[in-house]
Amino acid sequence: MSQGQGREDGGRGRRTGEDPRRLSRTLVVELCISALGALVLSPFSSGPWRIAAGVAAAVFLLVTMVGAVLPATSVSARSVVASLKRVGGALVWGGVGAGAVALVLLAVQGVAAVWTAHRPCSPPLQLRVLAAPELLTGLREAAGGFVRDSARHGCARYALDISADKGPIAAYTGFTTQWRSAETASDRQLFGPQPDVWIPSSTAEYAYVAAAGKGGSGGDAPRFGPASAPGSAPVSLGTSPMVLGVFKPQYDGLPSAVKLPNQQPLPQVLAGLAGVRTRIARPVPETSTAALAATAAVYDVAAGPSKPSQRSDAGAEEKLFDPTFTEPDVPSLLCRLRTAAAGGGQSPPSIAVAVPEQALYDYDTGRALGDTPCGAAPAAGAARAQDDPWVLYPVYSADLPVLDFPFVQVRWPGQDDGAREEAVKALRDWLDGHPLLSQGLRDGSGVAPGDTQGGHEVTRLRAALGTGEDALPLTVAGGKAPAVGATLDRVGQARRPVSLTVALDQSQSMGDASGGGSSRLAAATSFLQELAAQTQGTDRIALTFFSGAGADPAKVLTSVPPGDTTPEQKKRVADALQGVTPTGADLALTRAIAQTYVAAGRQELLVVTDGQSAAGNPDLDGQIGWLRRSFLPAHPDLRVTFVVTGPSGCGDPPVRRLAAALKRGGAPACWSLAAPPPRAGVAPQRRSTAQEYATQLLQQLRAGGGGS
Amino acid sequence: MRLHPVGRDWIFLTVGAAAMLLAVLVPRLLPGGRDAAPDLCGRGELLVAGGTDVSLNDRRLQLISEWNSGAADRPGRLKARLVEVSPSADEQYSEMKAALEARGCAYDVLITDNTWTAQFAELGYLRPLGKAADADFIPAGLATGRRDGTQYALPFNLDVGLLYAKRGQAAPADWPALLAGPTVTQLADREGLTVNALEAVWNDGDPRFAGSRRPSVGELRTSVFPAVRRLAERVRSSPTLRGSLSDDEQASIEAFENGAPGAPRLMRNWPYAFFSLAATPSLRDGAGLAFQVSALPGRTVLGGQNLAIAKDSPHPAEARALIDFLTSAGAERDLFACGGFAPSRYSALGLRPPDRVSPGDVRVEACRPSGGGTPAQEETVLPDRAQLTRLGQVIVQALARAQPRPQSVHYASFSATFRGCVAKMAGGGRVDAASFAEAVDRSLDGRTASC
Repeated sequence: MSQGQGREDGGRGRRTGEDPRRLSRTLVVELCISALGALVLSPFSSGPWRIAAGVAAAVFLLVTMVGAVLPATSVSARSVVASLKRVGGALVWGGVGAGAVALVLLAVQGVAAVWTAHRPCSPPLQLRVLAAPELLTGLREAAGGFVRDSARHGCARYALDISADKGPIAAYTGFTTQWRSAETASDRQLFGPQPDVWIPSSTAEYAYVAAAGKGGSGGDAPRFGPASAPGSAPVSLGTSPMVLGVFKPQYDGLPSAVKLPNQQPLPQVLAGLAGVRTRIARPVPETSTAALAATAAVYDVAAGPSKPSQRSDAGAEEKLFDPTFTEPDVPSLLCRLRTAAAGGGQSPPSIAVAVPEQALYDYDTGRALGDTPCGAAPAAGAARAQDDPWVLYPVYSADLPVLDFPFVQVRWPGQDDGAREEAVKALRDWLDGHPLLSQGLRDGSGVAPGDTQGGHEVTRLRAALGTGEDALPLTVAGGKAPAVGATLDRVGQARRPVSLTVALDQSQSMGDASGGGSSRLAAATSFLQELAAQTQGTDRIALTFFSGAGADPAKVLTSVPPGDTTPEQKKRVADALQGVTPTGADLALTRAIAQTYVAAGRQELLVVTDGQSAAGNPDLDGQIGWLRRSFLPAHPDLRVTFVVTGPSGCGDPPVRRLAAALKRGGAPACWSLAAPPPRAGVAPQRRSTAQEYATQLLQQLRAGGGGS
Repeated sequence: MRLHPVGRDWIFLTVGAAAMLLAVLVPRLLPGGRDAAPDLCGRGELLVAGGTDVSLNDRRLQLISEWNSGAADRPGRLKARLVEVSPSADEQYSEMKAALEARGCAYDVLITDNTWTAQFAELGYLRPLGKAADADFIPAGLATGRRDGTQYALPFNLDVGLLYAKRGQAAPADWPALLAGPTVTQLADREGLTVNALEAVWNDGDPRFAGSRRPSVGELRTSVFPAVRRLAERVRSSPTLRGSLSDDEQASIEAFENGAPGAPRLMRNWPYAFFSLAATPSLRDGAGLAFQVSALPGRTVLGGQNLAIAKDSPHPAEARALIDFLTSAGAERDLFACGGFAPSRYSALGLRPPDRVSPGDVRVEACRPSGGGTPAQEETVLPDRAQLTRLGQVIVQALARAQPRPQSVHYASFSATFRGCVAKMAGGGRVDAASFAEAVDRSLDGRTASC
């Protein structure tokens, strides 16, 4: 029985009861062939080849399934083989057609390549990268390699602009406000370029920001992750353990158990540091995720066997951290030390700097320190002198967290197209293939890969430290960075809160040059915006403006009433600062002080001015007398600090005389934005950034002291 | 198996070919992972993208506010908002270019460095301005906004290099004397280094390496390279110039303001530095100034910023009206007298071509602050009329010797490569003429290159 075989159903072509078996056999055979086909085609894993393979597989399956369910002429294996032969033939000719088109396309591509090679290049696509400041130096070096490697026919396809982020609070604010730092009716200030890629210090920082976006409103909010996998967990580019960098004189005095290559529990490390009278110096936790991570670890240790509390955190803050040595971020702190070292003639301070190991490597080997003025030292990469007291030796502890630098794609509505997606993917893929290990990071397991030609940071750091072969741990254990939000709260509770009232001079003269390339008002508002940004939720801030404007010669306007420095309050302050314009004559400083509302209790009044003139402050002697007799007694807990924008300084009247008259305890203080801020242990050499000024002043206010 | 298709084989062959073609073309034709964008194109305001406004008296922002005040009186007129990206020119460029590449209606008006105009126009990011600009614009500035004969931008302000000298310091007679003197300038690895190196080339090598003229590899090797090498040698041998290797414009102002012995007594900088120095107590002598300003002893870079309309602006007509307002004669006078910007119009300096265009014809008025109240004279230190007049005269002199930087679609890559070579040579690195010429030539085509 041949043709009649199986036709017991009256001609429908199926043998009832045998269809399922035939279909299943067919499908099994087809699945096997598809799997084999996928394996064969898998080397062509990229782009069109993968798509073509997928299409071919789909066509194959479709044809096969159609053949399997249509009426068959035979139920035997022979009929299946015959079906396969027909299908095979279809595939072969389909493949011939596909191959012919592929050859044509390749030829066209080849011609285009030859044509392009001899024409000027198209400008590269611009990628904006925001990165942790401690990673800037290494990332920029790696970016150069990416640009070179991704070039086609000598034409750069991508251009990268890499800038530093300003810590977790700024990131949180930026990503939740469409990257707007301040806004008025006619003006909007951005935090800088809107990043396509964000590389924070830790996944904890990313989680802190990403959680803020959940449930957020607005179609114009950025999205994290690639379009194909939105919200997917970012991948780490490498790790760097937090270490405590100790100068040689103190390092020599530490117990052996604490020194390289050991990784002792943190209590023992801290005990060793106490033994050499060394406290921890760190960047400002609000502006440095690295500092925040280390702070939590130190707080936990200070609690001892008890559960950490506000009291134990406050105790740790007071006893274990040195508030006089702080800067906004890791590179700035290390640059300050390098500047002090270059000044000569002084010993290094007795501090242990809490920094990532990779940043310590940059410092010790003379590499550039991010965006700071500390460019690469002339002998960058060379080993330092063995007896150089300014070399920092890393002290490791498994209780200190590890930073994992995740790669986060950011997609901004209206700027989220295929070309940009492809560019970000190209960068991510390149970094996967060229890990930042050669720039000082370790792998995900904390291992510094072996190296035979001195190319890895462990080797170079070992040479810089002058230590032996086994002096640096090749594997460093450590926990993840702690949750950012909770740690910020702990830090806020542990430190003395500050209640700030800012009185900003907005008289016409504030529109003049400050002597530093900007207007006085611009210098003042930049500084105040940074100051507000660095405050914590436990602080309070109010903002007033003063000038003799219009018909009312005494005009003190409360722009932002006092309130806790929540993100909303900070935004109000930032917007108000953005919108202020110079207007009117000078209002005498004593009147401005007297008429500024200041709440009861311990208060800090910041008077920000260009210093004014004698004519604008008549009867200064009389006014000073009144301040002493009436004003100061009425405000026993008030401290007044002057901030002068330049070009006048703290030594010019009337500010000089008023500051002396209002002196109270360690205050009053006068700070000049036209001169470097007073810093312990470093000779003033350059004007600092607004962020650095804000850091120094805020720390001084918390410590209860003033400036000059 | 047959070696030629018959019957249904042709169908399978065609299906296979079509499948391959679709597989390759479809991913390229589909828009790709684009999120549903908010209606940025439907906004009811004009967005003006630029850098942080650090102008004196916030003059640029004041102009925007004045436009908005006028908008309230004119139904249908859109208000404008200045979007301040960053004080860094590199970051401004990065943000604007990325936004323009995405074609997402991000901005209406762009305040761009005049070297970006050619690139943005070539890439189709800018909208031609249409009607011709009036004859009051200084032609050199207007030319920086033109590409292939089409006007894409109007000059918002110009910049020319000027020489500042402390009282008692003689002005150098020529360029070698300038570099040999106690001079501070901007040699940090940023655009300032490109500017200074180009000026050194123009005054000590080949003045033709400017504008639309592209030098040959031979000219780069025989004319440009020797001038760069001489500059590098002078930098290495001069303590003041060596100190400038870390200086940008602001740092060099601070160095010049320094009154300590050994501090620089000469400075090359832009016109806005005049306002900053005039406000510095140590550089004032009562109502007068303790420094002089003059044109550089040679050719100088023509810098400045332009105003252009983004191609995807949803309000091009209003954007053009705003540009006309911002570059009006009154605005330009105000920006010069109050804001410290060198103006882009003759009338802002009291000039009128063709008869009155010489430095001696400059007539300007001092700034009249727009805020309420009248400040006492000593409360504000804006330059007075005589000082502004002198500055205007010097600007006119300098404009006569000013040249644009190489106008190239690949200016960014050229500048990075060129100044990289200069920085390497100034730092003592060895670079030969052939490598230099090849690197610069490649960079002018946008190819990756370095010394």
